[in-house]
Amino acid sequence: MIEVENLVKKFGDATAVDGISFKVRKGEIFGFLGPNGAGKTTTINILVGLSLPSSGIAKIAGLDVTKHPIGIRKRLGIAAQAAYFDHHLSIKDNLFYHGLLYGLPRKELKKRVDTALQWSKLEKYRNKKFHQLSGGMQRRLVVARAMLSDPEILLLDEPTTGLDPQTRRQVWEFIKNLKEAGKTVLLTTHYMEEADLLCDRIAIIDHGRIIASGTPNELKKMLDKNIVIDITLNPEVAGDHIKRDLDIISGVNYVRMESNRIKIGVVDDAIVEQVLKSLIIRTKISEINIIRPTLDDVFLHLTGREIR
Amino acid sequence: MIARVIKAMLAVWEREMHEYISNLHVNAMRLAVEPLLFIFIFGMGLGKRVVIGDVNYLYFLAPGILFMVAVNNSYMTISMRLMIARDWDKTLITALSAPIKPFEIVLGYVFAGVTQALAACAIFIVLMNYFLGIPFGSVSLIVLLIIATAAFFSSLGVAISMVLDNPHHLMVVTSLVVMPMSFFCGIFIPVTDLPNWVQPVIEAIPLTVAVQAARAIALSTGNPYLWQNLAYIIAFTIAVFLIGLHLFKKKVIT
Ligand SMILES: Nc1ncnc2c1ncn2[C@@H]1O[C@H](COP(=O)(O)OP(=O)(O)OP(=O)(O)O)[C@@H](O)[C@H]1O
Ligand SMILES: [Mg+2]
Repeated sequence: MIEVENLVKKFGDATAVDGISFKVRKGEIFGFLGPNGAGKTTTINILVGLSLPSSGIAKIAGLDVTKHPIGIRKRLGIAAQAAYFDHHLSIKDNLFYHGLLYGLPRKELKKRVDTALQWSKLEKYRNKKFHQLSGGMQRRLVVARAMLSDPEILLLDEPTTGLDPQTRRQVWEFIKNLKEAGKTVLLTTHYMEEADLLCDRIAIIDHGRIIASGTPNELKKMLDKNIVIDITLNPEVAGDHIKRDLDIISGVNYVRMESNRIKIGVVDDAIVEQVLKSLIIRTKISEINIIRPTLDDVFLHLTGREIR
Repeated sequence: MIARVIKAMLAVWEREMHEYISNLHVNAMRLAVEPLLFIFIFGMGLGKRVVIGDVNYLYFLAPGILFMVAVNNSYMTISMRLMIARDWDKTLITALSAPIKPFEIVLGYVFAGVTQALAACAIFIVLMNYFLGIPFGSVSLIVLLIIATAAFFSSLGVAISMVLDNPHHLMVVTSLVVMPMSFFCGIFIPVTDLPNWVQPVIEAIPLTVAVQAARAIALSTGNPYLWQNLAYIIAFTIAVFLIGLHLFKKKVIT
């Protein structure tokens, strides 16, 4: 549905997007994961036609974004990161006049505005102005507006930033429902757990480049060799011989022991099993923690720094 | 294709008209009070002492003020609304993420400016004609001139709001460029009373052309160049519209 090839966007001397390529398949949720300033919004703006690429090609549904902005925007729903609403109109009127730009028939449009307000739980506020809503309400309204034209493809730029945990979960549910309804979704986020939970595939973007991409599991597998078993032993049985026994198991990367606490780095789940078996025979374990890599670790691994 | 363009343009127009009407209590100042003030102070106060040629000054002034109304109700609203939409609430970006082209958006704004000017001018003409018995001659010809003039000043509003980044600058441009235009373009005094060297400049301004043509219609003094005058204003309008559109694209699409 979305094909991007070697896309570059420069603002003066600064390169915001530095030759990225990716494909979003029909019906999937594709995640753009990256820190502030990575180039996520710039890429979305190019897809929408609000920004012109310096070089490279971006196509949506086979149409070049620089040549067919109208044909493309008919199929797109956009929830922009920065929410732009007319401060002089009520939110209901804002939705109505936005829908009118899509050429929706009035009767149908009125129904959809009502549905959008219901969905975003803002019926009570329908006659309020946008800036009179709380930050979370504003985000919900932005996502609701993106849905108004019932588009095939949704571009959601940080749809859950600033939402409380409960509302965030609602938006997640909603995005999952979009997928079930056959929509294609490109979403950007800083939140690893969000990308992990929602996305079929993820591209990790940093300094305008995609530094890794794949399914959440594929990405985490990159760090498979880094499963950590954190064990607390019964103090009576702790001793150096345990460390020695573990060291000789192949597939164990390291063993660190501090009094009765051992951290064991292993390469995969089979070794986890082997290590645990050997410990259970010889010692008394009071606590076991198995720490698998998260997308946070993947990001840390790839860039050498935390995402935020 | 054409149907989509018109529909898109009308969607913008309708939103602007909605905003205009929901602020009618404020816009009414410009719509009715301001021109009436000029009529009372200049026409009925000072004007009693003035005769231009053999014409009652009030009859001379009214067609001029009519075009001041047209300017204020097109240029002022459109430049302010567009500056807000571009720079403050940034709804131009939202609009452009819908299936609509810059051309259609600009056209929608200009059309809204023309509509607002026509409404204000209609009120003015009716009041002047009904209460003061001021003649306007062939109203349909005057309406054509109003449409062309309002389209010109709406387009000027588009262009200026794309160049300036600050509402204060807009105020300055308005009070240094647009206001003087309405004083010097033959609204209060005949252009022939101005110093010789500025006359050609003033006469080249579309507003002057419109005011003089309208006055000729209102006072039935005859004007063999009416259609040329109209074509002249329209040519300027198209030029300024295209400049506004160009600036619009340059500013909004990064
Ligand atoms: N209009 C612009 N003019 C100049 N530079 C820009 C412009 N828009 C974006 N940039 C720059 O491009 C880079 C990428 O910005 P972008 O907004 O795409 O990041 P992002 O990944 O969306 O970040 P965030 O998570 O903070 O939203 C930044 O360095 C930013 O300063
Ligand atoms: Mg962003």
